[in-house]
Amino acid sequence: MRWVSGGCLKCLNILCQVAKSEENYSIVIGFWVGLAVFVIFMFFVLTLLTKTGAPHQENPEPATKRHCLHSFAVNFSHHRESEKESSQHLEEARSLFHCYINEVDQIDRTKRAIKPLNMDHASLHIQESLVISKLNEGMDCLTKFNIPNFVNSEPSSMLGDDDLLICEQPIIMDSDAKLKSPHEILS
Amino acid sequence: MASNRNSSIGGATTSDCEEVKIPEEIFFTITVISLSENLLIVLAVIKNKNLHSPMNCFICSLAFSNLLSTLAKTCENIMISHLDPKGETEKKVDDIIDALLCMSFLGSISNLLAIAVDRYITIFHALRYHHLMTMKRASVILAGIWLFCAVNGMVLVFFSYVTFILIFFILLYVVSLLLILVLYVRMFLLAQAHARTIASLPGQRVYQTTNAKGTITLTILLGVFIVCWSPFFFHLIIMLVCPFNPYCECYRSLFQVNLLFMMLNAVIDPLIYAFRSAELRNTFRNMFCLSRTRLCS
Repeated sequence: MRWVSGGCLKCLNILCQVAKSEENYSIVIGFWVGLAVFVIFMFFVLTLLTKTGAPHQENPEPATKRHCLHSFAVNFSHHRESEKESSQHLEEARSLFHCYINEVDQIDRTKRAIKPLNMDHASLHIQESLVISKLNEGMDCLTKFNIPNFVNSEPSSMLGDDDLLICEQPIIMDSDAKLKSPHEILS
Repeated sequence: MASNRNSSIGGATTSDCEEVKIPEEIFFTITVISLSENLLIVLAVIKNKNLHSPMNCFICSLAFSNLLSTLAKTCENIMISHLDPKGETEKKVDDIIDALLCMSFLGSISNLLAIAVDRYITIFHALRYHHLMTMKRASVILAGIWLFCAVNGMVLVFFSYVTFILIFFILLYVVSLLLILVLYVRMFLLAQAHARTIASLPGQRVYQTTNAKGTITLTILLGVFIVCWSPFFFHLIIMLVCPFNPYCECYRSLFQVNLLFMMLNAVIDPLIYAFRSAELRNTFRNMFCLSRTRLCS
């Protein structure tokens, strides 16, 4: 460990050298202080955005959310056995519903009444088209699951409200069924 | 790399600020940590078939560029401490290593930008994502990124005295920074909007913890990018704006510190990008468990 302490001593020497000629290093100090202020300012702006609200807020039909949550509660117990295998399937199924929800949100901004029954039909249709497109990748597991299916496939992040939040995220299905919801990415 | 940079401007004034040299021990520690992390990530993504998706390809490419920068910096440190820096061949080898270093730094920035764009498409064009971002397109994008970085790395090192080149690189960095800021903040706002709509349902628990986590994650993502890359590009700006000012020369004397921050970026990036993925963490556990079966459950 002697070489580590040698490195520390050299660092202290450098810092002492900088401290001695402070007025010459004014640009350096100004730069770092400005950078720190900018990062802290950015943090506070982001916190403020969470408190006051984002510009494009949506208020979709509460019934759809309740339907979402109910299905989540029903299906949660069934799909925890084989994590690795089921995680892919569940992410696929979850993504279908969320893809649909996101698309619907964007198209029907003014319409507030999206009935759960219609949603089921439409999501089954989407499921079918996506199954066909993924057939050559062997993803035939989609047809096993009922829509909607909301299970959090990340066992480590287990808060109840996290599960409920993930329920509503637009999620991607990519070729390996790796999903990134806004909350998964940002937390 | 420092000798190339400082001698190409030819500052005539003297100042009290001699070049600050970072002790080798610190570079060595950072190099070892960075090498091990990024090598693990590259190996894990290559070995595990589940991780062959566009998102993980970009993360693997980021880890590879960090690996390359670490190796180049190690070679340069070894060369500086053990070989004669004035010889002709040593200068040529040093130039090549500098070009590799620049290429890997540009690669890091481009890969960070690519990851942000990929996440943006994931969230805002959910239905079309798997049509827009196939593996073939991702590999074409990666090939384009690396070609661009290789060419620009060589141009920056061999033509750093041309003002236009420096302006080009500064603009490149500013554009990347702005794009990353805009993309992530838009994703963050969408996540907040969704959280709010869910919280407005009856009987929901308080969601502030998740909001705080999202804010902190985003601040860390953006903050690390800004803090690690800004010193170097501010150095380039200072080279353009005030090459003969003694105050500016004091900033330029800290060039090794700026490089250190870029190496720190190579250490921190795996923690905030790659290790967030549960699949990758499971792959690591499996990789280590193969060698130490007794410790694994």
